[in-house]
Amino acid sequence: MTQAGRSFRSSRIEMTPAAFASEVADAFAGAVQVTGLVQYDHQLAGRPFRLRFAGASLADRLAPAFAHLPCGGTGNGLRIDAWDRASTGVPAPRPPWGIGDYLPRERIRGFDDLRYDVGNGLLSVDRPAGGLLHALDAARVPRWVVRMPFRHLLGSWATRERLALVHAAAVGVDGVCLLLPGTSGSGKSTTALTAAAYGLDFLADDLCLLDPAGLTAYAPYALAKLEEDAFERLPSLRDAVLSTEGGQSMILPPGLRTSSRLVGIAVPRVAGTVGTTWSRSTPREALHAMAPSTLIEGNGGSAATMEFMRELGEALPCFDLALGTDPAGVAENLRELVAACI
Amino acid sequence: MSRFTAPTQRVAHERVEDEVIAINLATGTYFSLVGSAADAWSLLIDGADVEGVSAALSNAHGVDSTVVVADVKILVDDLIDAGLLVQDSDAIALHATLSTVTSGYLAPTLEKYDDMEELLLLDPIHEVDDAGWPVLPVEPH
Repeated sequence: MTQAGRSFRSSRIEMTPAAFASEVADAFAGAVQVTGLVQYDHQLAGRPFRLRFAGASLADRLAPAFAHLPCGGTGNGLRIDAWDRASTGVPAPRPPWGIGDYLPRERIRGFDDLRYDVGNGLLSVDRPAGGLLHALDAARVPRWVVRMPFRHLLGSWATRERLALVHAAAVGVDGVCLLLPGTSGSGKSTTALTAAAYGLDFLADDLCLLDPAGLTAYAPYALAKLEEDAFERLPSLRDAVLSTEGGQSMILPPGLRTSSRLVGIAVPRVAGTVGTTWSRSTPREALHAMAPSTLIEGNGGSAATMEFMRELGEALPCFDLALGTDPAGVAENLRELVAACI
Repeated sequence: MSRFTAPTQRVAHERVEDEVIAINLATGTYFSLVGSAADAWSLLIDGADVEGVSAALSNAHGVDSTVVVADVKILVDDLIDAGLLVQDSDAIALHATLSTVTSGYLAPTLEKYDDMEELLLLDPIHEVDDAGWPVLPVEPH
């Protein structure tokens, strides 16, 4: 079967997911032969986290998101190997599935541990021995991936480690923090950066790593985003801008903290008022805000992740946070909320 | 009569107060069951069959059992259609009881949330390159 002069498989060939993953790992090794190895050793949630890139092209794009993490760490932990075809000349192995096997949410029929982002040419392969990522072109990796690389791989690893990568922002004061869960557009990112601009601790604006054992929140990523019009209300953040593209800036938030004790959950919503208010809510509302967006948006969560989120809502005070337009009021209410939880 | 299970690899579900939130991880859709529907779900997950669920709800609320049986059958069909339950014909139904009873009987229904439906859209694949991978869309200028 051909289309536009190129051939593709209309049906799959027999290959186990493990065999394909092994071929992907071999391809990474081949890319390293071409360009050399660039390696970073970090710690994430107290575990060793090793990033290995074939050459500098993809490393320069994706490694800065983890620059805040402590260095070092030995023993078994998470390892992710990544390369791109454009700079190494080494493609991912030919897919054994057919063109009809690409499913929504980056899934591939019969290959549960793989994700393929069709629009951006990103293949993620999760396996206990270490995750793999292949990009067609490092230069075309989208900015949201540069900000939050390896979401699927981190989420799957977190599930195996009995951690949870939750779709939520997190901000705090003096080492204790609030989780701000919600879907895209709920206001959590702007709230987190407002907090950072007004001197609160910043841990996450979109994805937060949680350890249920100690109710500890970890910042998996160092970078955040801010829309251009938000600088009018948060002018101090202009000093934190790393780059701007398409009206959106990438920010290294002031007050970035790598971990904090979690003391409460506040579900933000845009209220359309000037002032910000908060009130007590229920574990049920917290679970609604946390579970669907975390599990559906493809961070590799599981039934155990949802159970943890339910337990979290039952263990911590939950709040409704009605966000106003005055940023000082938002920050003041966040401080009040933290104080109310401790 | 046969009992039902929620496929653990595909379905995540938790009960909080009088509501069950259930997520089909394969399709990316999520659902809510409130009140009698949450009770029915809890009984089904505990191994009760349609008759057992209906009897428990009927006794708890003093509602005509024939009405409840009809309601529960509709709910179970909806749960199966949503991929949240599968029938396990080989398993024997268990006697399950309600630990707490939600107030008032309303015909149990499955509420679907589709506000994340755009996530289910798949970028169309028009062609693949020489290595067999979908060609990236042309960047806008």
